[in-house]
Amino acid sequence: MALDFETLIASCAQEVYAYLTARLGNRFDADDVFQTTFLKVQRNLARFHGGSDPKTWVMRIAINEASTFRARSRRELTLATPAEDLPLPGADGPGYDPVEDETVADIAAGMQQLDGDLRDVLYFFYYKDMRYEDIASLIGKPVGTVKSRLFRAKEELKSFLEAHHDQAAK
Amino acid sequence: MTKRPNDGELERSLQAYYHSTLDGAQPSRELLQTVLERAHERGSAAYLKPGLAFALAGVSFFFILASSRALEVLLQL
Repeated sequence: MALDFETLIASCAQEVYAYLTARLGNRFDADDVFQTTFLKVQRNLARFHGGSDPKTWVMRIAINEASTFRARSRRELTLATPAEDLPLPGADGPGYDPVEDETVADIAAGMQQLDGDLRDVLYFFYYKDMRYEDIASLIGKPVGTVKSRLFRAKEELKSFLEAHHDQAAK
Repeated sequence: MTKRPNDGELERSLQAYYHSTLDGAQPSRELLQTVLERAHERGSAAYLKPGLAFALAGVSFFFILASSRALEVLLQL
């Protein structure tokens, strides 16, 4: 199955980039890993025989690259301020919700405490609306592992938010 | 007062977090351009590799041939 690199990058760049931003927590690292991911895709393109959907194949490479990157570098910049080039409602602007703004900042801080594996399942489940089976197939783990990771991720986040509220109340 | 969010609250917070941080997130044009250029450079390098290896093998062959001929001449002196 012959795949054209430029077509492939055009079809899944946005999806891969959103995943990397969520997984790595900042756009600088997302940019780095985006490059290494697609260079690896290009290097292995000839060996792709269509055993899976090309987008799934690229996403698996992105997941592996993000894990390797995170293991190599422990840089953790927060995404508390949503990406710098995204249009944000200003404090005076329409659609500004201070409660939601605080919630987003709390969740962003909590995300920094989670392992990458846990962040992955949250992202695929709550943002991409993927089913357990599809997440399991993508990450190459049993459905039971996906469910337990999801449960653990939520429990860890709840504990973080609880402790965070306690601290803020003092 | 300790407040532990329930599942529903947490899920709503997660949705809000993802939508406010990731909706519209996409690689910059410069980033895409860089990836395509680097991929193109690598592609060209890969194309040149067999030719380069063949040329090096040829040069090595003639070098060995010339060396052995020179040695033969030296031994005859």
